[in-house]
Parts: sequence; C-alpha cells; structure tokens
Amino acid sequence: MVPVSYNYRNLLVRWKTTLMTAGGFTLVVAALSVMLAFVEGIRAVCNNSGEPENVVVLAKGNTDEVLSRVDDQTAREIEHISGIKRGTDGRPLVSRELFLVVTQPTSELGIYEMLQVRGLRPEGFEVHTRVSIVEGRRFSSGRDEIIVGRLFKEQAGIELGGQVGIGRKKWTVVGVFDAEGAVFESEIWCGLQELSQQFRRKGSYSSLVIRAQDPLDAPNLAQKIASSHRISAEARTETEHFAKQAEDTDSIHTAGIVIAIFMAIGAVFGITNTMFAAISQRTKDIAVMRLLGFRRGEIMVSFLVEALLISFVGGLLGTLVGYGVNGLTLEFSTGAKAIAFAFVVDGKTVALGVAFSLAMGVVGGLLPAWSAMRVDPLESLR
Amino acid sequence: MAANSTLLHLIDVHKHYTRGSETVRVIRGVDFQVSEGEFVGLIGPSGSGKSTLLNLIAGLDRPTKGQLFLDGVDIAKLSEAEVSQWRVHHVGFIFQFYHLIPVLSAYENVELPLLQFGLSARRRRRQVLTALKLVGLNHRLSHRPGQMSGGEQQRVGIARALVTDPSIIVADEPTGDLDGHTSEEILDLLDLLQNRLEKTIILVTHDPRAASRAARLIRLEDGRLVAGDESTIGAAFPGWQGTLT
Amino acid sequence: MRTLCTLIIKNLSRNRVRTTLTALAVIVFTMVYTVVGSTTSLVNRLVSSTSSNTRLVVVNRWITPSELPSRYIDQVTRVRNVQDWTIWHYYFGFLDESKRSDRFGLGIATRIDNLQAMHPGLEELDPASLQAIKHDKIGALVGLHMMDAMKWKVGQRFTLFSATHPGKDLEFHIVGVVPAGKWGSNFFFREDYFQQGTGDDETVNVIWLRVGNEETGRQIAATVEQMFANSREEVKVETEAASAARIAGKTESILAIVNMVVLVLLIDMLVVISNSISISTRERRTEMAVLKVLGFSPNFIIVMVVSEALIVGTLSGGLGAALAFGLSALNEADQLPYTIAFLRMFPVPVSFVPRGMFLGALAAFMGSIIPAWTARGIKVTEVFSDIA
Ligand SMILES: Nc1ncnc2c1ncn2[C@@H]1O[C@H](COP(=O)(O)OP(=O)(O)OP(=O)(O)O)[C@@H](O)[C@H]1O
Ligand SMILES: [Mg+2]
Repeated sequence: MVPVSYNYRNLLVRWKTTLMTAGGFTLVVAALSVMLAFVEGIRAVCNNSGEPENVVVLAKGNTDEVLSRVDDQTAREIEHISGIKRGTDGRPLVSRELFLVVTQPTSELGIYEMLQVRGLRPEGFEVHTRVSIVEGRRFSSGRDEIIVGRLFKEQAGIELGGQVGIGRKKWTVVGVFDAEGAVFESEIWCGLQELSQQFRRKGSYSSLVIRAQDPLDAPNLAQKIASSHRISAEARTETEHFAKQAEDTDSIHTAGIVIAIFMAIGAVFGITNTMFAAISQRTKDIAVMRLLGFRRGEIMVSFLVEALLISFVGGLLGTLVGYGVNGLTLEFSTGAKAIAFAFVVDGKTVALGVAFSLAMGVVGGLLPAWSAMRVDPLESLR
Repeated sequence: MAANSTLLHLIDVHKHYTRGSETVRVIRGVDFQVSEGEFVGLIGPSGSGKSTLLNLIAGLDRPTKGQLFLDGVDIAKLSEAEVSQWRVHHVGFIFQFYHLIPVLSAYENVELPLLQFGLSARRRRRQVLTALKLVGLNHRLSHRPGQMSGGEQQRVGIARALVTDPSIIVADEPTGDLDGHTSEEILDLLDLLQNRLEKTIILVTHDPRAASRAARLIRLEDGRLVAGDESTIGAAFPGWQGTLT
Repeated sequence: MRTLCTLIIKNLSRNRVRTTLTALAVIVFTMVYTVVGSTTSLVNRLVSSTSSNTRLVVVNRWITPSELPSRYIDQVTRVRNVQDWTIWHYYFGFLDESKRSDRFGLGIATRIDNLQAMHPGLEELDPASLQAIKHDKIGALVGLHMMDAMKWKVGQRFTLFSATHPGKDLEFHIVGVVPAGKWGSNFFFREDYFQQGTGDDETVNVIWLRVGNEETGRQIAATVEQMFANSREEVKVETEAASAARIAGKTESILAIVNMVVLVLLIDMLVVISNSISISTRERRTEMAVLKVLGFSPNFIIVMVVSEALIVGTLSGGLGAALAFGLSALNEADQLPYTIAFLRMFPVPVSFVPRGMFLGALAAFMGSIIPAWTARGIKVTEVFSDIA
C-alpha cells in the first residue's frame, strides 16, 4: 500500500488545484443539501402537523380544505358514529371548521396578502390538543377577536392587542398560539360563527376534525366514515391528511436529485482533469514507486484514494455550507394554501451529501487512476 | 576580426535577490565592454552569477543598480513592455535546454519571433528558410521538437536566435546538455555566426572546449569580474587539454 | 494574429483529454442550466404574455378561490364599453381513484364561441378540435401536460371525480389537445354541459371582460367594483397583468431555490474552467517564459490564455444549450425513445442557445483571467533558474 501521506502531501503542495477541485464538489453538494433541506423542511411541517387520534373529514373528492364543502347534515350524521371521544360537555368531539383563504389588500395599492383563516368552535381546542396559547387568551364568541399562530405573528409583525383586517372587518388579536411546529402556526383562528356570518358560509364547513378515543381507533373511525352509506365524504387520519399535503414535494425531491446528478457529472469532469494533471506531473514518482516494488494495483488505489480525499473534503465543506440554511424559514404554496416551513438539514441529508461526493470522487478518479497504473516505469525515467 | 565600436557597455552593475529577510548579492559591481562582432566567453564556477549576468544583458531581468548600455540604450531604464520590444529586435537567446515550443514545428518555432515584425509572409518565409539552412536543418521543417535529437533541437534554437538578425546573441551553456561530438557541431555553428555574419556573441559555459572558441574570456567569481580579464584559455582552465582523451 | 491563432489552436489540441473534459463539463453545466433556467423563464413568459391591460378579471373581493353569484354576469357584462366577455366555472377534481396530487384536473367550463379570443395562449389550438367541441356537448379540450400525465389519446373518454362538485362526477370526451404553455395543465369544456351536469346555476367563479384600452379598463373596473360595493359579495376587478403577477408571486420560494441552483451551476462551471486553465498555464510556465524571451509582450500571454478559455467556453456553452434545446424540442414532438412528460411543461426556448454561449464565454473569461494574469507575471529568470 502506498502511504496515504504521499497523496496528502501532494494535495497540500498543489493546494490551489486541490481547493478548486474540492470547491466544485462543495458547490454541488451544497446545492443538493439545500434542495433536500427544502423538501425535508416542508415534509417535516406536514408530518408534524397531524395528531394520530384525529380524523379529518372533507367533502367527497377533496384532499385539502380549500375546495371542500361539508354541510351540517353530514356533521350531524357523523356525530352518531361510535368511537368518537366525548368532550368536556359530554358531546362527541366533532370540530366543525371553516378554512378560508382571504385575499387582503395590504397598505400599498394592488399588493395583496393571503390570510389563512380558520373559524372553529371551542371544541376545536379539545381536538387540536397540541395547540396552546402562549400569549394572551382564546377568542371569545360573539366578539371580533382572533388568535394568531406563532409564525403568522412573526411574519406579519403584529402584537397582542393589534388589529388585523379580514375582509371589511377589523379583528383584534387577543392571543398567540403555538402548535408544536404544525401548519396551524401560520394561520389565524377565530370563532366559527363570526367567520361564517361575515363570509356567508353558514351551515357549510371546510372540514370536520374528529377525535378518536385512542390513536389506534383513528384509522377504523376514518374507514367507518368513508365506507358509510349515509355519509358521502372523505375521511383520513389527520396524520395521513397532512402527509398528503407534502406529496407535491415528491416531484421537487426527484427534480433536485436529478439536477444534482447532472451537476455532479460536470464536477466529475473537473476532478478527472485535476487527477490527470496530477498524474502527468508525477509520472516520475510513479515510475520510481514501481521500481521500488509497488504493484500496479497499489498505484491505482493510491490515486483513487487521492481523488477520494479531494471529494471528501469537498463534500464535507458542501454539507457545512448547506447546513447554513438550516432553520431558515420560507413559505411554500400548494394551491391556495401556503405552508411556512424551516429548512431542515438532518443527519440523513449530511450523510447523503458526503456519500454523493465520495461517489463523484470514485467516478472521476477511476480513469486517471487507471492511467497511472499503466505508466511504464522505464519509459518515463529515460 | 577587428573589434570596432562598442556594442555593450556595463557600468557598475549590481544584482541582489531578496529571499525572505535574506539578501543575496549575486552580481556585485561588474564593468565591462563588448565590441561589435566580438565572441566573448563568460566563465566562472557554478553559482558565480553567470546566468544572472546574462539575463541582465538580455533584458530579462533588471539590475538592482548600475547602467547597461546596448547600442547606446540604457536597457535598465526601459519599461517591461519596452524591454520586450527592444529584446526582440536586438537580442537572440540560446538556451541550454533549447526551450522550443513543443506544439510547433521547427519552421514555426523559428518563425515565432519574426511574427512581431509585421513582415510580409514571403519575406518571413525567406528569412526562416535562410536561418534553418544556415544551421543545416532545411530538410526538417515540419518536424516537432519531440521528433528531433538534442543537437537538432539546439540548431533550431540557434536558428530562432538569429532569424531576427539581432545585434547580439547570448547563449547560456548551449552545449551543456549535448555529447562531445554534437557540442562541437553546435560550437562550429556559433563560430560560423561570428565569422560569416559578424554577430556579437556572449557565451556562458563550463566547458573548456566551448570556452576555447571565444576570442576573449571574462571570468566571474562571486559576482565580480576577476581582475585582469583572463583572456587565454590556458589561464582560465589550467591543464584543460589534459582532461580530454 | 496568425501566431496567436496557431498557438491557441495548438495549445488546445495539445492536451486533448483536458480540453475535452473541460468542454464536456461546460456542456453538461449549460445543459442543466438551460433546462433549469427554462422553468424560471417559463414563469416569466407566462406573466409577460398575459400582461394584458385590456382584459379584466372580475373575482370575489375576498375569498380565494373566487366565487360570485351568477346574477352578476348580466350586470357586469352590460356595463358600457365592454367589448366581449366570458365566464369561468371551476370544475376541479381527481382524474382517477389514486388521488395523487399530480392527477388533479383543473377543468374550466366556459363559452366556446369566443374561447380563443378570450384566452390568449390558445392561438395554436387546432381549429378542427374547436369545431368538434361545438358539436359535442361532452367534448373537452385537454391540456398537453394532462394528456401526458394520464397517457390519454384524443377520442378517449374520461371521468373526473369532482372535488368542487362532490357527487357530480362528469364524463368527458377528449376532442382536442391544448398546446403546452399557459393552458397546458387545464382542460376546457362547455358551460352548458357544466350547468346540466352539476345543476349549479347559482354561482360563477370568474368573469372576464375585454375592453378597448387601458383607460376604459380603469373606468370599467371602478364602475363594476362600485356596483357591488355594498352588497354581500363584493368583487375585485384587476387587469389580467396584475392578477398574473400576483399569482406568479406565489411561486417565489421555488423560484428562489431554482435561482440558487442556477447560480451554483454557473459558479461551478467557472471553478471547473478556472482549474483547468490554471493547470494548463502552470504546465506551460517555461514555454510562456520562452515566449517572453522571444519578445512577446505580457499582454500577448494574457490574450492567449483568455482566448483559449473563451473558445472552449463559448463553443461548449453554445453546444450544451443547443443540445438541451434539441432534446427539449424532440421531447415535445414525441420523437425521443422516452418522452419525459414532466419536462414538456418547460420547453427550452431557442433564445437559450446564444445565452448558453454567452454564459460559457463569461465563465471562461472569469475563470481564465486570474490564471492569465498569473501567467503574465511569470518571471523569466525564475523559471529558468528552477530548471537549471
Ligand atoms: N531568482 C533568484 N532568486 C534568488 N536567488 C537567485 C535567483 N537566481 C539566481 N539566484 C542565486 O544567484 C546565484 C548565482 O546564480 P546563477 O544562476 O547566476 O549562477 P551560474 O553562475 O549561472 O551557475 P551555474 O554555472 O551553476 O549555472 C546562485 O547562488 C543562485 O542561488
Ligand atoms: Mg547558469
């Protein structure tokens, strides 16, 4: 085995080339990491949003709340289904919710902001148990009061006691809630009654969220509703429901990996160049090593190791750069709905980035290493 | 050959190199003159500063101090661009390792310096062919350096040095990399340049055989000319003939 | 000049492997750039192609997706100076039971008589299919991307499982294909079929108006907004341009990522070129010193090095973009062994070919200027003292 220090020293001597070649990898891996972190971030929010005890009921044919209309009749039918947990008032926990995307003009003319407003009744808080008020209090019925999600508060830059225009009406912020990272954190919540009155949606809901006795019962409950003859609606566990929202990211994920692979091909040509140059500079070294008794295979491995060293450094730097976006928040729109999310760079992404880089190193180093192996010692020392 | 007017005049030339905090005084006050058409040998032990001095004369480097007149021009005062212009017209350089451009043919290598003269293609061709004929290589025009022997490459190098018709030809150990027989051929060529074309030649060498071709020898030691300009080969290399067998 | 050319060409062909590898890298990078950049370019084109200020869109003032009472149609379209109008009924739903998000059909029920006039982007629609839908009540003109995703053929029938009108799943007969571009992911069908099939005669989603010029447009917008100012369903009237810009704004986060990728691509291209050029100038240090000895000026050396890079960069940049353009065109024309349906949404415009050349050249210039500068500064004496 040719000592690795031989490669390592040479890399140091040619440090500019080494850095530049590694830099090519760094960029590819950084781009890959950011793309994956984007997808992971959205998935994390979506996967984190559902409570396993909950079942979301939507109108037939819908997978999200934006187009869904469920009538009161259906809501009452559902209350009769067994297996629904009872609320503090003794009634089955069926949270009727109206979700509206309101186009709100902001101060400047012609600029609009999309507000995601959810109207619900007090039992909504018994269903969405992970929602907790962190500032102020809940809205009270009969008043134009709202509570806002943590992320909404951050993005809109409003304070407790401030006013938010929804439609023609001004609503007062009386509380701020946290939802343990769920999508609700970018929403505004208010009383169902008040919201449906203002936008003339009485007796019509976007969704019904039902709480099962037990997480294990939730899929059964969903099944029961979906297959009921009396009810025509879609029912999924809340976990499934939100996982579905992340489906749009699948194609982004695929596209990201495909783009990264093509970029990698470009970077691979770069390392091949570097390695060929390194070898042509060192044919004498190779010849001497061969004369000292190193076998062809060992020479080849040695140069492959050198390529791997470069790619490892590049990959590692790339994941570090990629790690820089970790926690950065952005908004992602699916249809009319927008999900605020934070980039997530996790161990999986880092591992993938480094592995990706090493793979590039092997592919790019193979041909030059092969040519190093075939150096004719006598010829090159002549 | 009667030496006429002065072509090259060095006045108190110094050259120092700084390496980090250390200053190496390589040339420490050299004065000498070379007349037109002279063949001067520059000799001295390794490290004495021969190459450095030659580089100064060829305008490849600037003296730290002193004046260096060639054809009446103080080349130490020219800008880098001016020097490179000046050099192409006045100096032909012959290297120990030939330094031909490997991707160009013998013909193209010789043509290279001429291309900056704005000559017509015909005129250029004539000059290149004349130069190559002079060195005896007019049959190998399209060969690449890699396809030629060391001696042949050096001939191309000489052709390249003389094709611009420079006032002075400087050669730094032109035979250093060649065997005895080939060296002689190359030296014969230099003689020819001086005798037939009346070129001024400065030849740096370690080789007594090469030095013997020079009409005058200048000896450099430790960056200074050794007093009294040894001018005979016997004095410069005592007993050199004995080393030949 | 001729020397320069000879030297450049010979230098490039000296290390063919390196030149080829560098060129391939640039080709691959520009290909990816071209494909990725086409997505942003498409979004921009859609915004600008629909940047009409003489088409007004009347929607619900507050709620997205918009919904208005049908009785508004009459009132709005009778306003003076409205030259032409149409309506949209959304009819959305899944195209099969899988409920996959990429199989969500966006149906638009509208007037067929002035379909093309009111929908810029439909100019290339086959007139025969327009005739066909006039005689076929359940006829549908289906967007190319939907056809691709579902692998449908003209003449086939399909049923949409409606999300907007649960339980009112309609069957359609595909009579024509809507070309790629703005409407490539939608399908159009007759509003009378919509009315009959859904029984929904209460609501309409969008009303479109065509007006003579921007000024009348503004007046009409004000009139219409005023008309319903105090009713329970207020309307908002925008020019199509404003509406398109607002909708495009929603793709911001994706575009940010795409732009980042594009930037990284370009930098990476620069790094690869720069590395290759530095390696080759370093290998030619002695030669460059000789050139200097022979009287070539330092600027000559810069020009030589930069030109070498420029030639490789420009040619391979153009080639990469041209390849991407060619493949995209073939993909669009169904001429590839495997049609990549996803990419048909983002056809590569021919303008990317000169752009690829330019970017290749730019990257080459920026990547070579530093090595060239270093080469310019080569000290002849140092090079030779290294060797001797
Ligand atoms: N660029 C430089 N930087 C620093 N020191 C230098 C440089 N060039 C030459 N020297 C030093 O100057 C001294 C003279 O060098 P030079 O090459 O002129 O000697 P020389 O007489 O030509 O020797 P040789 O016969 O071995 O060729 C040496 O000690 C060398 O180390
Ligand atoms: Mg020397």
